[in-house]
Amino acid sequence: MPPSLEWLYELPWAAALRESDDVYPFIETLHVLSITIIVGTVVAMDLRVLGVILKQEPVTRVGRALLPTTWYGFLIMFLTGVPLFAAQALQLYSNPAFRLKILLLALAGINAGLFHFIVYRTVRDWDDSPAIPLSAKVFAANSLFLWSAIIVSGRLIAVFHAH
Amino acid sequence: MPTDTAVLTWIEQTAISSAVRQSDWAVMALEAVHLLGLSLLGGTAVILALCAVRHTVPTLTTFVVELRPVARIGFILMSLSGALITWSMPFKYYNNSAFQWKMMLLLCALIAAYRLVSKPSRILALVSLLLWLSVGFSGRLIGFL
Repeated sequence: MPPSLEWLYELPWAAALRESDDVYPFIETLHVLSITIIVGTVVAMDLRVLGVILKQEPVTRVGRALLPTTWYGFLIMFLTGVPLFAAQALQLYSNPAFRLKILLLALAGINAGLFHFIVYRTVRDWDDSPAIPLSAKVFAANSLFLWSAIIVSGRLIAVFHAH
Repeated sequence: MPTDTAVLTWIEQTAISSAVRQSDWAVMALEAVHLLGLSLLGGTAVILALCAVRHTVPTLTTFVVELRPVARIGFILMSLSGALITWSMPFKYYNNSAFQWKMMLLLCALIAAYRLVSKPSRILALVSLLLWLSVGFSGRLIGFL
């Protein structure tokens, strides 16, 4: 257990949140709803890149309509996720489902970053063309898989939770 | 009421009900599927509500048509997994006031969603979002009552 996590765990507001009966599940619900916002917009964007839906709309236009909402979802996810973690830092640090979830989140971030900096740079060439590069589709399929796995591993945290 | 008890007892004694109830992992797996469905259906609801408020390009009408299969898959996943979970523990859910609230709010949210799709308006979009939020919160509360 790293000392920084013990410090986080012992913070007065983290302890207060840990001992509250109603605030913790309230924040938890907001956290799940923020993931809903992220996954809903990300899935729609991924399905557009895969050429499944919104085929008449250019990829960049779909991205402009959806991605700001994704970022708001991320903001709420972190603002709710950090206090949830702090309150249960000791238990979550050794929880295999939590570790898996953080790993998958990091992979989803790397996947999105690589998509943006490698594939999306040439988006003008395939913005409204039916021939979407295979590399773009691979990133989109990865994203669909990773976000599904993040939701499932998030649910599994409660199963492995030590009281 | 005795008739309620008879129906609930019958549900509880069906093979599928006891199979789900007695399994170590079935309810947990169904809850994970329920959350996957929620993210597809809830995510679509948020996108549509925000489009109704902000007037985006692509338009609300485009998103309504194009996201319909996504929302439909989400709805099927949610209702199948939710029905199985409820079916496995009929007494627990029937007598749970958070569950009763959730079902009523869900009905209102579905009506609002259908109206929003056929006749978009900002007020309705806002009402729809608030209803979905309250469905989420009452769902979380089920485990606390």
